[in-house]
Amino acid sequence: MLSVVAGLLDHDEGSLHVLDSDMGALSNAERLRFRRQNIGFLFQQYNLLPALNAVENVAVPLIANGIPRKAAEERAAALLETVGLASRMMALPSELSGGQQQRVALARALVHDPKLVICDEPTAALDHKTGDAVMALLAQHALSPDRAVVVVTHDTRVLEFGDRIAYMDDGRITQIEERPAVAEVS
Amino acid sequence: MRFIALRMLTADRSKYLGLVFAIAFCTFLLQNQSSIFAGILRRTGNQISDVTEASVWVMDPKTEYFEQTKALKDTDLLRVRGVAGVAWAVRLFKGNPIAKTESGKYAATTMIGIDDDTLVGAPRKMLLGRWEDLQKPDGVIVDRAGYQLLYPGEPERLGRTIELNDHRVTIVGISDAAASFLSLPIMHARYSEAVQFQGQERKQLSYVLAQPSAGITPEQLSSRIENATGLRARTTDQFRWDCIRYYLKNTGIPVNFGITIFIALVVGTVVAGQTFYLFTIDNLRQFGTLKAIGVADRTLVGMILLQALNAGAIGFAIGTGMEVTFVEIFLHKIATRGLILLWQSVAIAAACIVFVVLIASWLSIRRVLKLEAATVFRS
Repeated sequence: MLSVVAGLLDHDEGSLHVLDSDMGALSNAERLRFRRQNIGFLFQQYNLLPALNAVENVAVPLIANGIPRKAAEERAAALLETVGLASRMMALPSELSGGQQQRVALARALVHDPKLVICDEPTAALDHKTGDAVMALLAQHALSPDRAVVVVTHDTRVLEFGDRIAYMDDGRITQIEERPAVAEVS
Repeated sequence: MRFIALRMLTADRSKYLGLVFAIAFCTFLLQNQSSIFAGILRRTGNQISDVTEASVWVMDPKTEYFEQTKALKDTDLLRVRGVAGVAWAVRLFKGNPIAKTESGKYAATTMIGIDDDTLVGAPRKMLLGRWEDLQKPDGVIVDRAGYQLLYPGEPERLGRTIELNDHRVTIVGISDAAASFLSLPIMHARYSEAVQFQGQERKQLSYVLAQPSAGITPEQLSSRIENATGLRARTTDQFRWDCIRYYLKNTGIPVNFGITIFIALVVGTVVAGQTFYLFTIDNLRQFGTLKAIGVADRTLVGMILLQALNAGAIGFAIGTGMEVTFVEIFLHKIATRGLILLWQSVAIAAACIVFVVLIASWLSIRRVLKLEAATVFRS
């Protein structure tokens, strides 16, 4: 489902509108540009580039969008400070803990200020505290105007951060639950 | 994205070095074998190009290369001299007498007999003695390689005597003659004496060396001599290439070197291609991530080409450096002197490496283009 929403795979039937764009009507090049500009990804396995340090990893989406490397790294560094990794900017992924890697991946997902962030099991490899921290940052982004975060997870701890929860079984939505988001409650 | 491509390439040092050195050794083998090949072929015409004063060689019409001589009549020299446009013409003898030293060591030699009066064809690069000393009775000049073959490990000195087919001769000079194809000692003597060393034959004139008058090119003079005498006349350059073509056509040298060069190319392509392909496979997840983020296929293709060209360029530079070092070392050794690294060898090796790099890249590019970005969501 995430692949279809992100435009990585074509949908078989029906229509798909993401951020008011009809994904079925977009050409490959348009879909690529759409993804590059509007979508941030947070993967279960982080998927950081092992050859790049933290700040360079975070800068990748900006560089892919044509931002010069220096400016991209400055913005990436600022975001790494926000996620509490100011002292680990030059570290390679192999030198970071799982939680730190996921925060780098989170910064990468948010650095180009995407309208939609797609997360695949973002807390699966994290302990409770780190998972909560990651989800709080995502929730903060989601509450910004004109922004959304889609999370696919088996981790029930995540539910408290969502404001619209769709339960799926065998690829079909069985129940949708609307609730106030955690930040609105607090 | 260029720096990302290069970081990905060099992140795993051992794989990167493996790739670079596969290309370096492929480059080295290609350039090395073609250099040795060129060096050997150049040797076939070295005795021709060592004669710097005359630009036209006249010979029997059946002569195909320098070593194969059919003697001319003495009157042929006069006929050549009578051709319009000949400034001068002198005789040259080539034979292969056996040389024997005082210690009993002997070797077949290449004896060049030059015109007694003018000494045209005498070696101009002398290491010891003077070429003018050939005027001394029974004097010969031997090349350094030949001297070391006849007197291994002994210091070079003049005045030593050698027996040439029962004739006692004295070494009056040591030359730096270019290496011959068969690596025989190269001796120079006056024509009148050289023919005696060879033994009596009815006809002994091997070649006539001629020089055109002012305003006439060697090619024009060659044509005139051929028309006027019925003999074969070639410019120095044409005759040198005749020799090279003869050996190319009639010996197994090109096949042997061709096989080695082909194997170097195949091994280089397979090793470099496989190493680069495995490198790409190892990085598929990273390429998938970049695809998901929105990096275009053409950018990924550019990244792969940059990686391959980087490894290719560095490997080629290292391989060329290895070959230059090899040539520099062996150029100064007696047995391998005359080794040459032609710019054509470097250019052809470069073209082959580009081919290797493109094949290696093509395999990787295919794999990455076929990669579904959605794989990033699979654990």
